Amino acid sequence: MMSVRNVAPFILLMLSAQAGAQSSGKIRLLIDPGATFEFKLDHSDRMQEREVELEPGPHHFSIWAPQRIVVDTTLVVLPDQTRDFVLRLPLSKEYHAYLTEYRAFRSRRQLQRIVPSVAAATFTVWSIVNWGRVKDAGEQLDADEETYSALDVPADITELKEVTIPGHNDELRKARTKAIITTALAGASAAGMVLLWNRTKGKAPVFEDKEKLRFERVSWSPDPFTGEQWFGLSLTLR
Amino acid sequence: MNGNKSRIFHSLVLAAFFAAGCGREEVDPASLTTNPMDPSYGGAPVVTIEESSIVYVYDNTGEVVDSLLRVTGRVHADLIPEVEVYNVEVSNTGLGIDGTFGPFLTINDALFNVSFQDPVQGTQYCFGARVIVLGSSSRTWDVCANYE
Repeated sequence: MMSVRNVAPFILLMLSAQAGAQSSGKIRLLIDPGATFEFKLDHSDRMQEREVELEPGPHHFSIWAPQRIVVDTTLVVLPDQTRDFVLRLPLSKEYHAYLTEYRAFRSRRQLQRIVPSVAAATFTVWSIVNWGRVKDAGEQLDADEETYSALDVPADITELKEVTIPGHNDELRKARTKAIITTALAGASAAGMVLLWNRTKGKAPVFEDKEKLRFERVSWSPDPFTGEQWFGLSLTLR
Repeated sequence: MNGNKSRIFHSLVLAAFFAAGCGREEVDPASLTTNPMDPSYGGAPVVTIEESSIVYVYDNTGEVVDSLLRVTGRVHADLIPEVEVYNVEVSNTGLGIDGTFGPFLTINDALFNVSFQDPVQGTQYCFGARVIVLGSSSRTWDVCANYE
């Protein structure tokens, strides 16, 4: 006599044969962003396919992409049919916050870098202009010396020595003073620029994708056949 | 261009201009003394004595009634910048000498005579001579002669 215990495997075998006789269906995932999304099927399999063939019936999908939120949904698979599922994954709140923080950081860094850079460039150009004026004043004095040798009217020589040359000496002095000051300012602003550039290095805010952690979190569910509990850890496939 | 290269370039540009500008010193007008027309000229004299001689004046009887010490001055035209014309002004206020010679051309040396009346033997006679160009005068050179 066959006991219930002995019959049970046959019943299970018949049920599974009956299930196998049913035609599977397909789900086509049209997700934005199309290149980077991933999904977990029925809380277990982590996949990146755009089309999955499944047994008919409801299936749970957890869909995620970098910087986006995890969207959980249940899709019903119909036998012998392909269904399209269209979804635009929204940006996560953390990513919004990160973007805001990063833009603020970038603006701040640009300001910290641009202002001293512009100052250094301005003072450099200014000092170059002033050194050019020093050079011009020097050349003017060279010309005065040549003029002195060529002059033949005593009154003109006197005027050259008492008015013109002292005036050009004064211009040389003023130009040199300005050039030294602007060179010092250019040097100081260049040093400040280097200092601020170094200070603003490597302090950019880092985006921590909490949704990714949520998507990849350790999960468990009871096995429907053995009644055992199992857990798995999903690893990044990219 | 990375930061180091930029800094080196920046420094070199400034250093070049600094060197170009710093090398030039001011001109001291007092150090300019080489132009013979400069009132502060310190070179070879432009006006020198050429010769001196005694001129005697006789009356009808053959007696000497007057004598003059005639000093001939020379203007060295090669020292004068090429001007069209110039004059020579002589003076000795103590002896009441005051006069102008010229105009002369700069292509040749100019000679001029200054006379001292009734010279005393054993005395040195001097006058000041300066070159006048377009109304302004050079420094004054002393021209002296001894009556021996």
